[in-house]
Amino acid sequence: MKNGRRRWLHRFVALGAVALLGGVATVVISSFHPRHPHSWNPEEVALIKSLSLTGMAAPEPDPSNRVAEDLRAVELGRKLFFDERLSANGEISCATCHDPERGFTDGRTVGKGLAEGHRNTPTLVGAGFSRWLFWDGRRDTLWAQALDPLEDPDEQGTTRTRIAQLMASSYRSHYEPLFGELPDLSDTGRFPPDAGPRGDAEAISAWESMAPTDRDAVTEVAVNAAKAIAAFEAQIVPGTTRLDQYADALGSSAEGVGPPGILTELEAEGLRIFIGQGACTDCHSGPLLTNGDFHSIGLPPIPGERFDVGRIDGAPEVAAAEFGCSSEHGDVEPSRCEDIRFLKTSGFELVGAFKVPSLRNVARTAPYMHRGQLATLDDVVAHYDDPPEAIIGHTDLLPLELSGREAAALAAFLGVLDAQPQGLEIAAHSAASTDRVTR
Amino acid sequence: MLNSQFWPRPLAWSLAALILVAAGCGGAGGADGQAGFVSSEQGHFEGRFSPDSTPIELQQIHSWTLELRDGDGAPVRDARIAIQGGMPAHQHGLPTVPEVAGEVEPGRYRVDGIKFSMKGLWVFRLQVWAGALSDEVVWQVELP
Repeated sequence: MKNGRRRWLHRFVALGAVALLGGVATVVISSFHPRHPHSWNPEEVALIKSLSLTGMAAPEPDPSNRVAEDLRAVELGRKLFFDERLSANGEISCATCHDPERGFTDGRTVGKGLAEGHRNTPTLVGAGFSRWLFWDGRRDTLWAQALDPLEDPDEQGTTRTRIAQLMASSYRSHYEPLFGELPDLSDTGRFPPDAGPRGDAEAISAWESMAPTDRDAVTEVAVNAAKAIAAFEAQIVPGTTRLDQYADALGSSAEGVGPPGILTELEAEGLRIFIGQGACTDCHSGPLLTNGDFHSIGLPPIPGERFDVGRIDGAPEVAAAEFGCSSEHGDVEPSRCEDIRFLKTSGFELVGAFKVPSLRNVARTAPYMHRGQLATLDDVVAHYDDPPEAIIGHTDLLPLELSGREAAALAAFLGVLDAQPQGLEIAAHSAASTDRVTR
Repeated sequence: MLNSQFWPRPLAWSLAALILVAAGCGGAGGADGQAGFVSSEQGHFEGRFSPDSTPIELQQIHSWTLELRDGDGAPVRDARIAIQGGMPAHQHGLPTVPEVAGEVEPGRYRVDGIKFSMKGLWVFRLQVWAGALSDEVVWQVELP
């Protein structure tokens, strides 16, 4: 009986050892024989398809902008977007920094209007989908954002009365069918040529000397101009990339095998890292490749500059902003502005956090990050691969430990996300036509 | 890839333990919100937290309902509730500040302003004060 038990025990142990060896062998073999670059399991297929533009709805019209869908507003906004008279020196338009030829960015480390700014110029492609505007989300509607650079002394630096006067002198026929009769601005005593709350001391003083009702009338015209610009900007949407083509074709191919001829093997390897080991889709998710939220990736302070704290300042500012969804200038019941109603304004994770940018067209929007700290996509991948400890705040990142080939693959994949933005033909037409107005 | 310093490590371990306890006490919430009640940490209440509409869409602000009952199954009325939450693995809290809109039926409390910014495990910690009792309901939601 004892011998019988021992025999069974030996057999059991032997079987266990065989099973263990088999498991180890499977792991070893599979590690030496990686999957075919274009072979995807069902979860990966679903994740890849979730990144496709196909089936994504157009941007929902901004409820706080009553002309958001009006093609007449789009046309007026297009003209204003390229109009350099909307600047203090007559040389700077929205398109100066948001250059259609550069993916609606400027290729600079930080934007430069009348003076050099503090942040990298973000693209406008897909801006109509954005819940928050600016790197720190300090505005919550595209029209509120569009008005800000016009008056910013470092950007276009024009004044509120000058904006209203330009609408009256050059755009009356476009403006009045949309927004109603312009106020009579001919009395320069009541409406000084350069008066506004963000101008130089003289302009501010002139603004403060105006009657409150006159200030309100001028402000309404400037807001309406910005709403037209926003209507135009919302037309600029991302075009179909090779990722979209690949994702769409994946659905019809057998057993999750990617279609040939769209992505190279290196790019497909990069895609695998993007959705897997790199955890890029944690934040760069959905068809726009962003979750629209704010995260810190531990970018170090720049020597000699005040540390940019990002969202921890942007959140209170958006709540208090003169212009926005829930402001008196928003065309919607403030209770519908849910992003403001449930706004998070505190929390250590907001320190040094910035808006997650869309990665569409990323290859043409260098340099990268809120301060243009990283010059190339290789630099970006290197930052994520070996992230520094955050000096201030925290970092969401953990090391990826990519091999050299994997890092190259991920950078190659980011290049796949490129396409001529839709809506660009509108902009290009404008730039080439007599609509480009100069003083 | 993201790390897990959002909650201090001892707290994170405690939280993980609480989640396991919660999961063992009737199942934690799934993304579809069809799981059963869980016992609160000190056993004073049972709670169930579920979205008012499914499937849950990322980036969309929506409402949830917290159902509270006592050990006898009777609704817990006139409770005061505070909500915290976040992603332990990603070291960030909720992206919004939800509000308890009110007790819509006896023992049923509507919570407005819930939003999720990422797939993965989210954990809510619902502090409940009712009568002389206070306790915490821990509820986890896995967004696939």
